[in-house]
Amino acid sequence: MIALLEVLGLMASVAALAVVWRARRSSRVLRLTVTALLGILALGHLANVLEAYGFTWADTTADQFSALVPVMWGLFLLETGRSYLSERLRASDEQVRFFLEAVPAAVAWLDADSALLGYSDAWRSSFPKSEPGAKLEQVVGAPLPELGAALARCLRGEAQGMRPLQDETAELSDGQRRYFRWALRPWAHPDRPQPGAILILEDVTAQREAEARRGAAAEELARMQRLAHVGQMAAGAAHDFNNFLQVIHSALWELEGNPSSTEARANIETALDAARDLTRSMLRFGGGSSVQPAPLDLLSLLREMQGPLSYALGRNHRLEVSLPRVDSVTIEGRAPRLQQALLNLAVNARDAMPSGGPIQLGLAVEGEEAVLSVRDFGTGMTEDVRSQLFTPFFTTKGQLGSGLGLNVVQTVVEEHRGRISVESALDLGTTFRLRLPLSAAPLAS
Amino acid sequence: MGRPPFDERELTVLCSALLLAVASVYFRRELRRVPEWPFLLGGIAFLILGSTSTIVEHFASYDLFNTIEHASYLAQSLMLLVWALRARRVLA
Repeated sequence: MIALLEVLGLMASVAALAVVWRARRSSRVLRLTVTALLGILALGHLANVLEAYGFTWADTTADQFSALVPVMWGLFLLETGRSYLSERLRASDEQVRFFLEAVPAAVAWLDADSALLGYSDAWRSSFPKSEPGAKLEQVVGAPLPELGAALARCLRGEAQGMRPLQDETAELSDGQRRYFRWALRPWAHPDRPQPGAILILEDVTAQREAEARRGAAAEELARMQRLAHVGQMAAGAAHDFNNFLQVIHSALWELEGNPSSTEARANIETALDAARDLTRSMLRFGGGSSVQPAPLDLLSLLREMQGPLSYALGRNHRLEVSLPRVDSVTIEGRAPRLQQALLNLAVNARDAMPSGGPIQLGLAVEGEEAVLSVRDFGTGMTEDVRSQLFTPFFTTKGQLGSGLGLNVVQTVVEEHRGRISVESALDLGTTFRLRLPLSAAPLAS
Repeated sequence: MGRPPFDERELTVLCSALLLAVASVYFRRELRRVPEWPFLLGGIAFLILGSTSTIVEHFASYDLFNTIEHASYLAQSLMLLVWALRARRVLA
């Protein structure tokens, strides 16, 4: 029995030895240590086999081999751990090298004096003055006090983990502005007694300027779109003015025959009041968008908008307004911007119903939010259209649409810290809901 | 088979094996990253079982513990064989 166990042990040890020696890529030291361990085990098994077959001298030999086994285990484990960890370190170094060469981010390692220790290729491209040992402020060439303060905290060991990306604007001595985005984290290396930092720094000046140009162009397009809408409203208003003039003309004609007619005077006053109200609301609608946010009553806003919106929608479309039975619904907002958003939604609703129909404009209060809704009963939209709805310059109206209307609506809602949602079904219609946070601030008198 | 006299070296082997086990537990976070580490740990466990049985056999149930001792050493070699087979992807 014992002999059988030892023969099997001998076979297992020799087989393991063969497997290890075929693994040629493993380090020589690892192969030597595992060979020593397996060799000692094999010799121990062999000595025990011989002892079992009556070679009594082998007993002492087997004991001597046994005494060596734990030592060999220890050496083997040490070398296995060292070999594996050094392999991982090499792989990790390769990953870091790849990262530094491949990623577009400008990354640099700084020592405790905020001097460069190393940097990525993108960093070198962004900051050509970079060289190991150069100070950060010289390399960047722009004052960044917030980054400097954060770096100082980091180097003093007062900051932990990666700071999220932060934007900072640098004012240059010639009055120019440069925009940067940076993230920072402490970095400690066993070879360095003092902690350093890893910095991701991006010069986003060109990107910001392009964004500003794009924003200005979009704003200009939106303004032109609004003017076009105002033109449409003016056409509708002109029709009503004509009606008022007819009333006044009739009343004047009556006064010529009967100068004391109070009814004719009253008709003239009513027509003039209505014309004045209409003019005021038109002027308010065409107002600029630079008004600061202020407490705003949505009930009043919608009441004032009914007339102008009706003109914008034309005679084929009927505006149905549903308002809550409350004194006011106050939000913090800018009336011209909200008017523009509602007008854009109303015009879209009109265009979705080429043969006419009702367009519902609603206001409700749900929890801490005011909900403005615009509903049409038109063609609805596909999922594909819905997914691109707020993308600038996306339009389903061909040459007739700018593709900015809903983008403007979304921007306005975001300006008011609100949310926008859309429900649509093909051939049934579409409902837009703007949810805006209510304000507790009192309305201006 | 007769019962051989107790040899102090056997105690040294057991102490060394226990020391190895303690070191393995202490450095478990690092050693856990070694490929197929559980098989190496099994080998060490069988080494401890074998060297413990070597001592116990002198005081009780000689045949039983002698068999356990040799079976443990066989299991230790088998664990190393399985480790070598499974880890050769990494070693090769």
